[in-house]
Amino acid sequence: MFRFFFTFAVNQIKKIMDFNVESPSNFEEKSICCFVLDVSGSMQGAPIQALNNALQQFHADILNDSILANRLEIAIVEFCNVATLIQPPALAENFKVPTLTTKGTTALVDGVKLGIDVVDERKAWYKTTGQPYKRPWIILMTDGAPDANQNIQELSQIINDRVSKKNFVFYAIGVDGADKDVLNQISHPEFPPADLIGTRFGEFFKWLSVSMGTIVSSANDQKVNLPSPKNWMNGFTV
Amino acid sequence: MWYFVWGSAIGKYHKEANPPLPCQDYCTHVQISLESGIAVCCDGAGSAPLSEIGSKFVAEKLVETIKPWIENLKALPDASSWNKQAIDFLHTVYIDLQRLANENQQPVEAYATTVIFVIYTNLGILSAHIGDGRAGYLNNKDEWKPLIEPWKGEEANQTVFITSQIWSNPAAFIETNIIEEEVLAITLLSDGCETHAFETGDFDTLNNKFISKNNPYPGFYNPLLQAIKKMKDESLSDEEIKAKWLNFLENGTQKLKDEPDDKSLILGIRL
Repeated sequence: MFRFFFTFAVNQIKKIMDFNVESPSNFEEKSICCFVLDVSGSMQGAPIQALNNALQQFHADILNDSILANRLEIAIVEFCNVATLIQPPALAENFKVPTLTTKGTTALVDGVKLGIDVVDERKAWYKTTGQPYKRPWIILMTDGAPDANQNIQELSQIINDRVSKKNFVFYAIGVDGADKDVLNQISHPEFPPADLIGTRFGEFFKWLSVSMGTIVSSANDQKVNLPSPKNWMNGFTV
Repeated sequence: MWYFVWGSAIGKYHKEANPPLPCQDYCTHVQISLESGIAVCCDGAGSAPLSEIGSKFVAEKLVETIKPWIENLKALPDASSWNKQAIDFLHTVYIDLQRLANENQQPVEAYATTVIFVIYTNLGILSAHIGDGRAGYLNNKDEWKPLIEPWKGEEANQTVFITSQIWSNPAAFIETNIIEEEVLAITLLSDGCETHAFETGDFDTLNNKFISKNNPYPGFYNPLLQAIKKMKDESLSDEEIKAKWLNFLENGTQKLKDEPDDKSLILGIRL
């Protein structure tokens, strides 16, 4: 039995060694995904812990994928009563995931606008340096209703206009308690908002890491068949 | 004499898509004489629902269309004549594709695909392409050189297809090339293989500029040539070599294994 497995292993190694090639070191085309994350007081406890764990795992998954690790840039904006860029766009190997802590209220509009600024600046940098790039993604995750001083109408116009012009993809994920009417209002019909099942951030980020692989290899006008979101999305049916 | 090996492998994320996508690449090679033949590589558009049919149809129709011309070729055409001839070949195949679409009551765009083809003869090499992907050759000075410049749009992975609105001005979208120097090896590949087999880009940190490149990578290709020659010397059958080639496309390097996109690679060697 041992001899059988040893022979099998040697044959497998020989197959790989048949063509023992080098890969060239290429500067790869970039995609940027900007997370806009709600860290308001209502996320305290299990939700923020689950989100922190999921972000760490997402980061590890990207690092472990030799293609995504060289193509996907990640940025993180957090918002409470103010919006802050806590991780500028970078490849996974160039940063450690910050730990999110809850505080304050829900300046959702400020958060998303900052996310839009981040991807706009990054795209401008790609263009001025002559780099090929893919359409950016902005992913909002929120569990509440925005503060009263937040101009939802204005944000809705900006997002619908910019998504229609294919400037970026905007995807809103509502965590338990999120104001679904607001999320529907600010989302483009091509990318309706989704409801997260409980605190299944881990399942969402796993789906996202696999989806990003499809997205980074697709053409910009291409409709892509993403994996099923049934593990994390409420109400998903085939 | 020439020996060719070719194959396509489904991309990692095409397998994981919902529903899973078939392999939309297709490549083929037909030897016409010891010293002549045609190799074709097609990459079906991911968004086109029937592009796996389109890529296969275009590749096979192209071979069928061009074969009699190669058999009767007495002298290499000049650049202008080759450009016109190649456009004519591709347009003929496009019309055939339209016919297929009509028969199946589908828009022709559903079959969208890129196409690269290379004709090799003892007179020289002729190439033409629509869209992206890469092609190259090895000359008798051991230099690997590109055969085509992939067509890329403003954003990465934008390209044109045989079904795109190119036929009112095809010369603007169809690149042709003639190589008269001695050629020892030829390669064609879809863009799923390009960053693994070619130098495609570098970043000049001093000047903060991306430098686009288009060079077959000798560290990738020379071991492949040596391995194929060794297999032929050891009298491996074509089927055995093909099986090893397909396994290489799937698993040959970690990056090939992780490649999200479908991969096609053709390699021809003058033995």
